[in-house]
Amino acid sequence: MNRTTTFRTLTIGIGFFTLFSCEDIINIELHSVKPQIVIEGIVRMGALPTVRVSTTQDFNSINEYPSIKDAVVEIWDDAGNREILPFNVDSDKYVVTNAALIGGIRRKTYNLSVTCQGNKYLAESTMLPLVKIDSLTLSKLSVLDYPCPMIHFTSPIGMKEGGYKCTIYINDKVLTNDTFISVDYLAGKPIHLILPIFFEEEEDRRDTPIKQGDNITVEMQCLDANLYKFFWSLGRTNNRMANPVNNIKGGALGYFGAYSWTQKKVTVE
Amino acid sequence: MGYEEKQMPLWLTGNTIHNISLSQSVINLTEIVVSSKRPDISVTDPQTGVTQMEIQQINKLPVLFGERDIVKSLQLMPGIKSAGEGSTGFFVRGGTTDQNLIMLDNVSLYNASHLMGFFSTFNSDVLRDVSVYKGGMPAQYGERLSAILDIRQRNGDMQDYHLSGGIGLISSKLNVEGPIQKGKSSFLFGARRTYADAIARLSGVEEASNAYLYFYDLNMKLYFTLSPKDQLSVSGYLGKDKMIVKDVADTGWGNSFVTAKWTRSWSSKLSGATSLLYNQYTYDYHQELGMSEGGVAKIKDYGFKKEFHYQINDDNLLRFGLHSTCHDIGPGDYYTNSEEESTTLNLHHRYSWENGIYVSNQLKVNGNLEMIYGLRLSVFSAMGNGEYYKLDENNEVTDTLRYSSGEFVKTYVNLEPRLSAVYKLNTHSSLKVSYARTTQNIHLLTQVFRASPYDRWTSSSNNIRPQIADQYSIGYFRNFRNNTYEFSVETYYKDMWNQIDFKDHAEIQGNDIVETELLRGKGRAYGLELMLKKQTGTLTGWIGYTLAKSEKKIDGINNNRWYNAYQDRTHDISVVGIYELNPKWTLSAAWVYYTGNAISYPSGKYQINGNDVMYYAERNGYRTPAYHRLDIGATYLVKKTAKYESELAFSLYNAYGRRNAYMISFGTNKDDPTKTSAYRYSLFTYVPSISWNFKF
Repeated sequence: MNRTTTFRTLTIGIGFFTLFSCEDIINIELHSVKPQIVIEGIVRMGALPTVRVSTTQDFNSINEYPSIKDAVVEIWDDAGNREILPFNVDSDKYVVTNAALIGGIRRKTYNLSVTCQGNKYLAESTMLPLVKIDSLTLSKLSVLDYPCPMIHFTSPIGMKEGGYKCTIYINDKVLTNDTFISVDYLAGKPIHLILPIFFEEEEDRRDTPIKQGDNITVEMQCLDANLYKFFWSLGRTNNRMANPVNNIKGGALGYFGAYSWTQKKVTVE
Repeated sequence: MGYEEKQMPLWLTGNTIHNISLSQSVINLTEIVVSSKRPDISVTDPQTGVTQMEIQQINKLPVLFGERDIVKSLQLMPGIKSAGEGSTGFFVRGGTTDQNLIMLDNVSLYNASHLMGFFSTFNSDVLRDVSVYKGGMPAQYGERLSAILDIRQRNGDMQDYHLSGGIGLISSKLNVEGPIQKGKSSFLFGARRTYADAIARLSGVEEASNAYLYFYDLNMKLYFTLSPKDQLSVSGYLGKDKMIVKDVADTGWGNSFVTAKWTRSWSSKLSGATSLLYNQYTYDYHQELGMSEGGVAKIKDYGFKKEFHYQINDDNLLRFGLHSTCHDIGPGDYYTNSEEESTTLNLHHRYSWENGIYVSNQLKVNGNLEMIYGLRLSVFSAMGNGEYYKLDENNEVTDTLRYSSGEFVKTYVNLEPRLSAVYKLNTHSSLKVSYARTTQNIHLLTQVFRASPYDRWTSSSNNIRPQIADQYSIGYFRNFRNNTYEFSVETYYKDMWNQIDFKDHAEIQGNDIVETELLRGKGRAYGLELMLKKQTGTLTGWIGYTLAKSEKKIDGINNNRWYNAYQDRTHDISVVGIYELNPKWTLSAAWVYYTGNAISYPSGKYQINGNDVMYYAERNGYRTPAYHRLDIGATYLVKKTAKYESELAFSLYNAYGRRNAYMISFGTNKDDPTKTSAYRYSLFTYVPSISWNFKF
């Protein structure tokens, strides 16, 4: 089942009551806790793997998350390629230099080890075979005055767990809410799914997030089960008031993810 | 023309018939109130931890959206706490909402709320009375841990036909009643529907143009006197909520039940009742986003109850009986249809058979000491047909067990002793004590702070053990000035075992093996409840105060330490006043204050993919801001004759416009992306309402 859309109906219903609600900023005293290590390790198909290591910050501090530059970060794959990553000052991350470790499209398992402040963190992620978007069209929901992107693809029979994360870009600007499609019960099934866009923060697009002439790009990433669970739960962090379920052993926040991806673009006419 | 008032004491030691003749009077036109309650009942009743409310009392209180609500009125009593702004969910003595058994005409409802909890399922016009048992539960009640809310529909008038109803800003109701055969049988039908969405559309609210949101409910009661000793009643209820976004999404949920009860008096000492019931709760959803997708979940109960009252002598009243219910919990049948093909997923039903056998005796030991003691035997069996799972210590499935229809999977037997006693210190004061063990085998898998109609119910199984609680309470009751004032102080302590909680981000929906997502532990709750009530006079009302604590200790949460349960509220105050200004106008006001709930707020933040993400360090380590609110109301009696009555009810909910937090959300500041902020969302400041109620 498509977990993201399943209960959207409910959200729309609650929208009625939000008509009556008002929003303001309040001051709540939140405890200061010992900073936790945060790891964001990415093995994107076709790109050099990167790892960023940082820490949590107090809620009331500025939104800056300085990198930890003295960690020992190592990535290896199941084909025997291995590298201790040097810190790259320009990108503020640890970046792989060994081209053999570039994210490949065949099924491959990657491992990450981060040693930092006396602790060791380990993670593993599998690059799933690429599932292409067959086509991207525009479709209109009767309740919206503008068209929304609709993706068409077939979930392969062999893919039994994990899922797809769809990110929408309007004129190269990313929308914050991703759509998640779990592969559960969908193996071998054709998918035709509208990705509805309800809200847009920009003032001139608040009522009409999509306008004539806009370029809409949808990127679909294929995620293994642990990575899917991480991103799916990341989207619900505030609602569930709980940290996302991650794939890093040793107690760090964040994730280590290898993923294949595909993009399609459509222009609104 | 009316009748002179007449008061006479009645000593009820058995079934008895009294003919009361009233003298005619030309001055007294008020209604005749036949009360079944002694004015000093709060001091003399051996039952502890009970709150009773009459519908007339509720009708005078200020309301939200013009709709009188029995459950919201009860939340103004000590020990019964609202689950949130405008909510009909409630917490009793530190328990969760699903630990309350909510019964309408002896049938338990799985979701007693409409419109996401802003209205209860109870149309107050068709109700007779309501009792809430917070502790010292009588043995005839069981099946839930914390409280019993026993609501009865009234019988229709057996002499005359009446039409009554009310028209409000967002809802209306109509009730019709009368004799089927004069003096022998009657009917009562009630109907209620909201139309907030239609009003919004008419007012040009754009968001409402393609959206529909409403509920309706229908109540029915038929009553037949079969013989001087036999009565038969048939009750029914049908309620449905609908939310529709035209051509995109459609969802609904609702309870429905029908029950028949035959009551017989074999002699002046022995009477009994036999009931049969069918009860159903359903929710469904459907959406069209390129593909059509949807699902239906259904719970069905088939029940039988046999109850007896036997007045052994003046000092002993014996009650005994049997309850038996078959539960069929269907967690969901889902489908996804595209142009090319359809996919279905039918989750396994959970079947169970729940039985309770009880005996209790109300004993007058002497003039001062009276007690109700009893024993309830609860036997619960998880049944086939279906798959059950063996789990290891990490909650991972090690084996799948398949059972065929009617096969017993696991049976839990629990003995539940009950005791409630009063010792009268003098004519106007008493001491009361109680003890009750309660068990619960039907569990709601919900996050208490976001209850929804889609929350999943499940039953005890080989992996989920029955919840068990022991509650002890002691209280001092005193009436003043000839029972005009009632004062009480009660204190309680409750231990709870086999409490259920969830892993972070548990997947409850669409999951067959839901047990793997659960965590288990124990709970404890204790508190002090104070109540001062003025019962009679032009000014009536009460002041209630609760000082309480409710904690949990769950394996896998907060390093297995005791922590505050969500429903833990330290202070809870309610002040209610009803003032009869003159025969035409009645004024009312209710003020509530309570400490915020225990809740998880972030203790830091971090960055993922360039976005700020909140960091949660512990479960329920914070509190929501304190809540307070004043509601005021006025009722104007437009006209009252023997045949016709009409009144206008005005209310102002949240009269001083306090912006209580309905939800607090943490995230990147919308105007300054270098900062994170806490956003408060509040509902319902200054909500005026008017409704017109009539009765022919």
